[in-house]
Amino acid sequence: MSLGDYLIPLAPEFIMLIGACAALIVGLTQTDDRRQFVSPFALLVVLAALVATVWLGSPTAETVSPPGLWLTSLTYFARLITLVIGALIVLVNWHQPVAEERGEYMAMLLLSLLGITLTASANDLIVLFFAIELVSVPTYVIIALSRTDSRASEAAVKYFFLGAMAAAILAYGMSFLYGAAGTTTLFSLTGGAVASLWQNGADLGPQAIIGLLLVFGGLAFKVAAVPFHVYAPDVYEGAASPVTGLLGFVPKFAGFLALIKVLSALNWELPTEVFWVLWLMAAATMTLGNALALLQTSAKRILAYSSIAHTGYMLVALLVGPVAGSGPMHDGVAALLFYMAVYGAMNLGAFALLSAFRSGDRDTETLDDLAGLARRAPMAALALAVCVFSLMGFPPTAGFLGKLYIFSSAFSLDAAHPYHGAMVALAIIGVLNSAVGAAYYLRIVAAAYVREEVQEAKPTGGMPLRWGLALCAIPMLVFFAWPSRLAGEARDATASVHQSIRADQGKVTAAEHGQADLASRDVIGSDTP
Amino acid sequence: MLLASIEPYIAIGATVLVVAIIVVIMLIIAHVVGPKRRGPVKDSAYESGMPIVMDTERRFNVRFYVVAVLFLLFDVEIIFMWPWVLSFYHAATTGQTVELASGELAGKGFLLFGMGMFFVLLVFGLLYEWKKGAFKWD
Amino acid sequence: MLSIGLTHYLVVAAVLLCTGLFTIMTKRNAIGILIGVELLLNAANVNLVAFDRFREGGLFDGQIMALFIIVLAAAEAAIAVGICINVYKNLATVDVDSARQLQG
Repeated sequence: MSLGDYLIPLAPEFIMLIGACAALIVGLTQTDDRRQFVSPFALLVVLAALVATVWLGSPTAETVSPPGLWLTSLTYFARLITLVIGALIVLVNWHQPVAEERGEYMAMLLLSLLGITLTASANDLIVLFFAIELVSVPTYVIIALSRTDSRASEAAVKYFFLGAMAAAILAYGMSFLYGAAGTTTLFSLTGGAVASLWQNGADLGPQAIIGLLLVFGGLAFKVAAVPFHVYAPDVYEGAASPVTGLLGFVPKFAGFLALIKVLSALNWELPTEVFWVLWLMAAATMTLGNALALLQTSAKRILAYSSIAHTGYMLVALLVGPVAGSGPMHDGVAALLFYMAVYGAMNLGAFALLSAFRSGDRDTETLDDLAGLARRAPMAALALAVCVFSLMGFPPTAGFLGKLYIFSSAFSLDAAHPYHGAMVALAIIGVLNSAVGAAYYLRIVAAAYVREEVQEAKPTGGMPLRWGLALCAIPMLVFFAWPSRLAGEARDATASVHQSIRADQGKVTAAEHGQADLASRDVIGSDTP
Repeated sequence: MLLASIEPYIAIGATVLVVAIIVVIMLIIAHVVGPKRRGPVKDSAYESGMPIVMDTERRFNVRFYVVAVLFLLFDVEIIFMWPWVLSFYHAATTGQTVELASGELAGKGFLLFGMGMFFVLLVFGLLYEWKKGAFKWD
Repeated sequence: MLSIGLTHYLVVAAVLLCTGLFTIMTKRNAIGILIGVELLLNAANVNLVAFDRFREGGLFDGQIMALFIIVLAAAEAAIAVGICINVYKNLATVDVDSARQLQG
């Protein structure tokens, strides 16, 4: 087998790596007019990687996976979503840091995106851990570079030290998983991988359970789940708004991809204690995030707490897992992936609007700063309204479909499922929380549309930022009308989770049973008029 | 049962205890018996050595930290090369393949390519630092 | 006779972990906290190498991961020093308690 067989399937990753190095070089030039090429160059790199992804298509059974990686349809989905939202992030951050540091900034952004795609394809605890760190470490630098004032460096300090601690806890937990399994390979067709350790379902032994709880603790930090959420509001407020939009998506997507990897290595058969820890975490994350968001007056902090609440909704879908139900999405993991894609765009859009205006001599942050926006800039206010309604989960937006998929996947669980009652209860908590969340989201929209202008605000940023804002808002309406393509991609990505569960087992899992039932039900459904 | 499980550690515990007791006794004896002479000369840092030039809490130029960090980064990379050299020597001298963690087999070409990539990135980092002016002292 | 087994190494690692967590919680100096984080990473390393030594068959996955974690620790130290210099420029101290503008 030649080297090319190994390298060509990784073309998008290589494009991003080489692009990141080249962005550093472009940023080194001494003249300002040449430095302006950094942002277009970064956009070009992301789009080139996107073209390479589409050209390669979804990996098939014949695709050669390099050692330590397993290229699946999940990789394909992660690459598509990461690169599309990555392009939006580059647009929103177009003029972000001072020109001297833009080369480093864009290089770090590209490396962070590279980390997400590697997380999605990791097939080894070592690769998984370092892919997540490749996502996190550049974000520390991005926050520190984002503003020149002391608030950004304070946010960077908080995020760095807590993040480094979470990474260490994650490594410590992984060492126990390695100790219990004797190998770091996650899935292997020949057996002898972490996944084969857990063939006998929930009987894991104390070492593996300690390891799992520590791993979930470390990853909970990345996705900002309670009780590891404490850093989120401060860090989100301290970083510049375009960076905050990035922070809501990049570490969260990587964290959830890693959780999907770890849980599929467990065949999604959680030990009882681990299930209840995650259940409590999901319930507390939704409730606390929404309750604290109600108390805030700064639009930026409201969105920061809402991002915590959204983590809670996603955890619900994660707990449902790939067990197929009769809901519109059939599947918790597919609902999670769909929601993640939608969330990345709507969250980025809301923060992009905050960075599009300056109130007096400071950045737009409070609700007062947003007052009177509709009269001043009707199009921008409309984009904000679309993004915020989507975050709220209000009908003509994709956010509504995302929430519908998540909660219906929990409600449609088979009654024989061991945690059927608990999951339905969790989904009810989620629905109630969404209703509570509407209160603070409506305050943002009301500030923009109803209230009189408090302080004069000047538009800032440039055309790229405005394009980024528009491209975040428009898909919310488009995907509400035509969700089938994105939902189909998400469902295809889940096929690889089913496949990885089956890989070691040689036995038909509950997931497969559900899938088979569903297939027959679909056929029946299409026969009747 | 409990006693049996800690039995091997009793000797270690006894040793620690004996050492602690001896230290305390010696400190007490020194305190009670030893002569006490105090004065400005006696309390100085180097009683019969050189005079003190300045405070120890002196601020270092921040460039020392930058240089230390750059050194640390390139210094630590060497630990990747040591296991690689062993694997490559094995592959090159015996012509055998090396089993990777994923269960696949790698020949020396693959190993050479991997280390080549690593080196290219390292040299790129060095060149970047150079052009960025990290090695300039003033 | 006392023979050193896997458990002894795990206990050492757990002690290292607790020391690290204690350091992180009590130190107010940013460099002190960084030392605590390094202790946590080394607890993971001790665990990995111990599990590797006492495993049955298989490859040296644990030792390889320990090597990678050592390099990660160096990279994190580099970023920590960079961020600390950044903070020092803005606040003229590396005492983390003085970083409390963002609360609410």
